[in-house]
Amino acid sequence: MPTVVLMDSSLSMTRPVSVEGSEEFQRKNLAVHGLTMLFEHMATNYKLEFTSLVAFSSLWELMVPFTRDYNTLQEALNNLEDYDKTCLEGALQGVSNVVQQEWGSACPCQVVLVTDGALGIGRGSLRHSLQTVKQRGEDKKFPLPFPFPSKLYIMCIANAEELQATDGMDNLEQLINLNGGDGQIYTMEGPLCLKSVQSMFGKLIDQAYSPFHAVLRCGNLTSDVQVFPRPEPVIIDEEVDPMPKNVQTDLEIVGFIEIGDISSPPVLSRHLVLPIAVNKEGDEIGTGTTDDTEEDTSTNQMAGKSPNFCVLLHGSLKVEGMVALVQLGPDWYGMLYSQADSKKKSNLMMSLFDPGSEPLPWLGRMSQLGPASDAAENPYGEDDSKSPFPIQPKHKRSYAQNVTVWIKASGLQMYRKFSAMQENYLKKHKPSIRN
Amino acid sequence: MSAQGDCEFLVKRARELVPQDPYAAKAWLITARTLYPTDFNIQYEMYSIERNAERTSSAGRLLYDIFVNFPDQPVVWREISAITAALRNDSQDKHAQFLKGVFETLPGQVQCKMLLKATEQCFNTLEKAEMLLLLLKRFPESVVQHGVSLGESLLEAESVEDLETPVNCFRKLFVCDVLPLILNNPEMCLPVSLLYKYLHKAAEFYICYVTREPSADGQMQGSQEVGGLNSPGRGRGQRSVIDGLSDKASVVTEPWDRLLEMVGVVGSLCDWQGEKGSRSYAELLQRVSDLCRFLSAADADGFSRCCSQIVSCCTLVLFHCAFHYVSAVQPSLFQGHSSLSSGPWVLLEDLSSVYADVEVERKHTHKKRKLADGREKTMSSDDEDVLAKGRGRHIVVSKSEMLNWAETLDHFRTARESWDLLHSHPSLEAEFAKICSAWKTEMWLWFRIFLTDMIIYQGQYRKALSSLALMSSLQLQQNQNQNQNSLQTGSSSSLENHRAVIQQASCHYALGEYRLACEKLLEAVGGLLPQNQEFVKSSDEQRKPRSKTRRGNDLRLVPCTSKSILPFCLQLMLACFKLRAFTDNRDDLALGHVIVLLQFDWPQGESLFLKAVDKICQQGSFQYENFFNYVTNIDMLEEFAYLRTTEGGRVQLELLPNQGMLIKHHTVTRGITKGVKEDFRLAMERQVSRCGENLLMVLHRFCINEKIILIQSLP
Repeated sequence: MPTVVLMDSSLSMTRPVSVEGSEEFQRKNLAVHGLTMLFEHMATNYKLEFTSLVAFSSLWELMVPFTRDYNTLQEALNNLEDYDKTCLEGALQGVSNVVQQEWGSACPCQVVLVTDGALGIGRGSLRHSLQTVKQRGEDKKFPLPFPFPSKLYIMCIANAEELQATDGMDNLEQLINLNGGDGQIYTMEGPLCLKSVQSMFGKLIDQAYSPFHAVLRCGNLTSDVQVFPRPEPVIIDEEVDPMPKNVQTDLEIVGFIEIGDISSPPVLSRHLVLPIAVNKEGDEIGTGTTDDTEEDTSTNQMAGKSPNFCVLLHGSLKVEGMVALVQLGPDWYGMLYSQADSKKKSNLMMSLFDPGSEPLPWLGRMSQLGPASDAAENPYGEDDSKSPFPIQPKHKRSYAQNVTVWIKASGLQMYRKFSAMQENYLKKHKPSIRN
Repeated sequence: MSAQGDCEFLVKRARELVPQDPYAAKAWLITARTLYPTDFNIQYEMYSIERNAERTSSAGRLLYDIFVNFPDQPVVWREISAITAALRNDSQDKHAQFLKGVFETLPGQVQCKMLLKATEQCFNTLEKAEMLLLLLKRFPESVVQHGVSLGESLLEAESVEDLETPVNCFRKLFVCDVLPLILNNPEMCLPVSLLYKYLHKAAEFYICYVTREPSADGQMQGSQEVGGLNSPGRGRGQRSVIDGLSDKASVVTEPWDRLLEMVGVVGSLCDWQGEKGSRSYAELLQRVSDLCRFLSAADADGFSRCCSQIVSCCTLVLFHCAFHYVSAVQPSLFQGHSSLSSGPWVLLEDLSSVYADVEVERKHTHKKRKLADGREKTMSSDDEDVLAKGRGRHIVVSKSEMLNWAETLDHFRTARESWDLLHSHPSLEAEFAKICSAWKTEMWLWFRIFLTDMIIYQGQYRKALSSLALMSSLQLQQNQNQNQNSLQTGSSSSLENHRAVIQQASCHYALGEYRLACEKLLEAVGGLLPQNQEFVKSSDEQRKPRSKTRRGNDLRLVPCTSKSILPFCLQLMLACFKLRAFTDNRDDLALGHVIVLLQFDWPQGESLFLKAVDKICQQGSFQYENFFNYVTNIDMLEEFAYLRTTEGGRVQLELLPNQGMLIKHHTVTRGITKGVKEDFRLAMERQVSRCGENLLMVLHRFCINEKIILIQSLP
């Protein structure tokens, strides 16, 4: 889930904060300190996240486009300048533009707004925007709610008493409500100091940026993995008293099935599954740096040095053209599969099915599935060349083709088939390209 | 010679036997009296023995015989003086109680004669009056014969001694003791003129009693030596003591209630129309108003007959309500209120609409002028309902700070209605003027305060300014009298001195004399001490919806404290400069002053500030060298930083002092100025670091340091 950090660079952020000791801090320094803490955490524990930095005052500026290079983000953070009045509406419009240009309208994003709560006056200020939001025409709509799924976190370099003395707190809460209610306002507790800003950003990290660690099991074979992005709790609307369902940290593989048989099922979300390698000293090592070449080399070295179940699983699924069914919780399943980024590189991915015992109707109940060898007659034929799923229509239709994997969600691109089954198919027909 | 010797022997013999054998002593004396019936010493000795033995009945009987047979003996009168002193004094002394008991055993006729005789022995008027009063109380039938003469003698004594205040021993005795006896005696037939005279005397006493000034030292003259009653040491205390009276006798309980009761009695004696014994002053005013309306419609002859009734009742209601109003807004003027923690209050123009737009203000001015004209016209008309006059203006009070605000406003309204009624007819007005002249109400500072507030309420600000000048002179005299007290109440007295100055500023503003208003309010600000820490207003107060504009301008009762007066002064200055800053003409100085003053009560001034910014954008430039001295509001600083940008209009701002020299210094070639932007940026950043300063301190310094510029900025 990409993150946009929206940093208030208005003049009010240069207000001094009385801190014990000789050094004098401004609210901006506290904000930079908090964001530095966030970036360091991401660089260590959340490095797959894409983050961009937008600074705003009366205007807004994209300081750093979406990147995983946290050094660039930190450098831009240290070079922030001070401007003038606080125009949050324009800034939010900028966020909307930046996200849609990069990710489209379907990708969920997190917006972290860092401000001191002094929201300004007059046109362009939040108060003025909220007063006129209902009377606007279509051409000048308020940027919220964002056209993409999003969570809005507001980090206030102020304590709650200060915000409630003005109407800042009310306006910020209204902002979150306008965006569908997803998000939260964080304030500093007690006096404004380094300790309280660390505490505030620590809460944000715990809430939104903690990695999801799990154990992947297949019989006696196990591996520690990180699932990225973090799976979200799911609420089923049909239930009378809905309880959020959480993905268990124990992911057990319950079976394997042909890619062709799984087809292209509807899924809730897709996640990377990354092994967490443990070296001889017992330290936890990531999968490499952001540099592709180095990462590739490091991965190869790591793979070569010590056995890992993830590597075995990934390679097997890729070669055999199959997917692994994985149990996420009671009556909740997903699948593990290999997805290619390029000709040379692929990733082990996990998709979450809808909760329930029959997420794929053409397969029937998941609990009823069993080994093919248990059947009286092999359903795939003597030479494993036939498939009972799904029933093939007589006419060739595009949707009746084998599984299609989109490389980028923002547009339709060329797709390629790499499985053995697909290769066999290519021999019988001429290759075709779809747009 | 031999008889006298025998008597002496017998008396001596009996006296020697008293300790040993009382009955033998008594036998000797009885024998002596039988032998010599006309000897005084024998009988007095018998009385002394009974008195010392504290046998009431025997002593009384013997005293009776002595009084009847030997009325000329000095010893007898000394004894009778002791008894009458015990009767007048409410002492709980054992001996006094015994003496009272002896007196009670005497027959009524003898008591009456004894008291009357004792009265004739007195030379001091006060003592004589008290003695006669004792007689009147015990024998009501003697009121017919002695009551009026006693009253007149007391009033005569008062005029002879030329006392300064009606609160003196003679008047007190007359009003509190003699007059009730006279009025409540059914056999008295007093003429109506005398009744009115007595009523006015009583009213004057009661009013001046409750409105006495506080005095820490009771300067009592201990000239009265009768029975040690008025010894110099006993007069000292927190309460003021009426000269010539004891502590206890100087206290008058429930003065207003007693006055109201007396009005009822006098009313019934004078056969007042519609009088049924009012239970409250408001009811009294209601009856008189109804009577006045009825008579005005009926005939002039009836009106003249009831003129005294109307004036008397209305006057009492006026002073009663005015007193209660002033005791709420200026409690330190009166005795017994100094211990209260509440300070003075001041009636001022309500400036809640000071943050509204200027067009609305002009509309207000127009309405005000029209209203004033209408009010003047209304007051001269006899057909107008006087009660409707009080509905024109609304007085806003901070209800949490003044606990009895409803009663105070009610008193103020009733007093105004009384005043209007008294001035609704020439004959009423003339008679009221006579009463005021007799009572010298011109010297009553508290009444002057009420009159000033009433005149302000009526919107006659020119008259109010004259009244405030009179008040200042009265206040000067009072301050000289209380020179010693000023040390004790230094802080509150300084604020009370500024009370009139603040009201003058408010009146000048209402008259449109902004320069004078500014002068006065800056004078008041000079005496204020800004609070050390700025108070934080609750969000409810800030978002309180502004009330709809009424027909007339509202007034506001404000506590006379630095906490409340400084905000009022700042808002008043804003109101003065606002009209000048937002005209079509360019006046950067006034506009700058407005911007500084709008910081107070932020963000209420936000819309006006944005209006100022719009004007600056239209001008394209703005010059105010005091900007970085007094503007610390972060929203304002952000806005001014924005004005310099391309998107903000690229306004040319000259906010730094001596910026012209800086421009010259930074010029390189082709007139391009370098460094000006940097100077502004540094100044702005330095200014942001002052956002945490106490705003009240900043604005107070603004008023003090820029006093001359502020006054000169106004026409």
